[in-house]
Amino acid sequence: MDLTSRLLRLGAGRPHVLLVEAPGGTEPRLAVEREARTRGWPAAGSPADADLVVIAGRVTDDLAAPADRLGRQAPRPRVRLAAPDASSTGRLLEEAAARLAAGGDLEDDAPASAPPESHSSHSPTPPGDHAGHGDMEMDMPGGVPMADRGEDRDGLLLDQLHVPLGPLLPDWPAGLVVQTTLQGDVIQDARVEVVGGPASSFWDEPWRRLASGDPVTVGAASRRRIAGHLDSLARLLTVAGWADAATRARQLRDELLAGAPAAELGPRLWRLTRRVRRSRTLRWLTDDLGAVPADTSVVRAWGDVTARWSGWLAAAEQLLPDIDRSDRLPLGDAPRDPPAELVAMLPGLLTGTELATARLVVASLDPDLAELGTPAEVPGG
Amino acid sequence: MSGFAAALLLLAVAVTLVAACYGVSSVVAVAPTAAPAGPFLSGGEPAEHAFSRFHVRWYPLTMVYLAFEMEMLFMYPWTLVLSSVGPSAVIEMFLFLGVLLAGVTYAWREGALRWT
Repeated sequence: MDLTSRLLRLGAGRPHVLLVEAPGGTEPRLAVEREARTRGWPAAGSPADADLVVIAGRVTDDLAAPADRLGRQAPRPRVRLAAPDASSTGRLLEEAAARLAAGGDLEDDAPASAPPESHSSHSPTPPGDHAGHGDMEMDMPGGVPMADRGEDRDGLLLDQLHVPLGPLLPDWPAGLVVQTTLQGDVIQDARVEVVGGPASSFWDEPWRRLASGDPVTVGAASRRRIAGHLDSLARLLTVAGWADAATRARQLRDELLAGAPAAELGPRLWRLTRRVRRSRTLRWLTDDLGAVPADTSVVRAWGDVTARWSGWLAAAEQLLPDIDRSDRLPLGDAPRDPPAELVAMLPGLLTGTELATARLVVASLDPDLAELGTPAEVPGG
Repeated sequence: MSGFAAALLLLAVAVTLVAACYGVSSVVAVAPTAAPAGPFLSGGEPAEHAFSRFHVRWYPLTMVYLAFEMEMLFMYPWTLVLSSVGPSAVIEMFLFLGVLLAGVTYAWREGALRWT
């Protein structure tokens, strides 16, 4: 119909992009973020706001079902897009917008809600703590049972909801799943899982090349490390709700990776760090959250959320003069600490926090699970 | 225009507006029906409904509130007629308050006001 197609074209002019990252998908994620930003396409925080659902990285078997569900939760017209690598991302996005203008993907007509029989196999509920479940399997809407109640920390009986954070959440570490037990918005229990299979970390790539015997310049390694910090900062700021500063951090990150000289980036980085440091609202949001004592072995996790983002800013400023150096990186120079201990300390940090706090804490630790190597179940605390 | 004609006109306008909304929606919709969509749980499935069940103590508390509320409701007009009716109004009102207060005392004894 003429009117419909005209409206579709109008809507597809500025599609909202829900971008989630699968393990090893950092490079395509950066590419999609860059392409979407240059086109002025806004980022969506959830499928309800999304026109394009983009999954950066390789969708492994254990991510296939969540990816499928995510794609079907966006309202029509919608287009699902896989960006397994960073090549031709711009063309992919253009094609997706064209498909959106033509009415989007219509082939996936199955309902997005779960069929009744599948919830028991997928339920994140740990076996054993759900005694009174049997009488609730009657005709509940969607085949989903009512919440059970349990004692909260004040000794009140409150409904317990089991809500997974991750794996396919924007601005969330790829492959990380935190299975939370919520009462109200307080996390009573958190279990951490890692999904998505092994991948190689984008932020460690210069050091991997160094280990395999290739020459790596100090400049390239510093660039990669600052870009990693700026990426973490941008994700934290997005979670904190400061989109403007986050966009600036992303711009700087992309120009840094594209090879802009220090003379050009220096003043802008300085403006960004000054602005972020001077924000009382951000400090007020992040002070005293997720405090890690300074005797743990993971140095980058020390302090509260504020201390961690201040650390990124300081490291970025300190490394910036090095980005144009062309001398070789000395052999034996190591990347960041492996994130296994970060992941292991997550359940302890998240238990007892509110949901929003938990997102800030995870964003401030920003464990790059691709550095882990093999996926593993981490015991909950 | 009589009141009846105005009401009919308003009804007609309302029906036309609602019908227009449905009409536009059916003309420009990309799919005939909306597919049911679950909540966004990062790709996960909901394990339970997110309805909150309220504890039964809220319901007695509501009834107690009604008792106080009715008391106030009758006291506003009572203040206006008090001087013209005389002492009988005072006696009647305090009898009424006594009845309500008995209900509140009963609720108190039954533990409806106990918070924890």
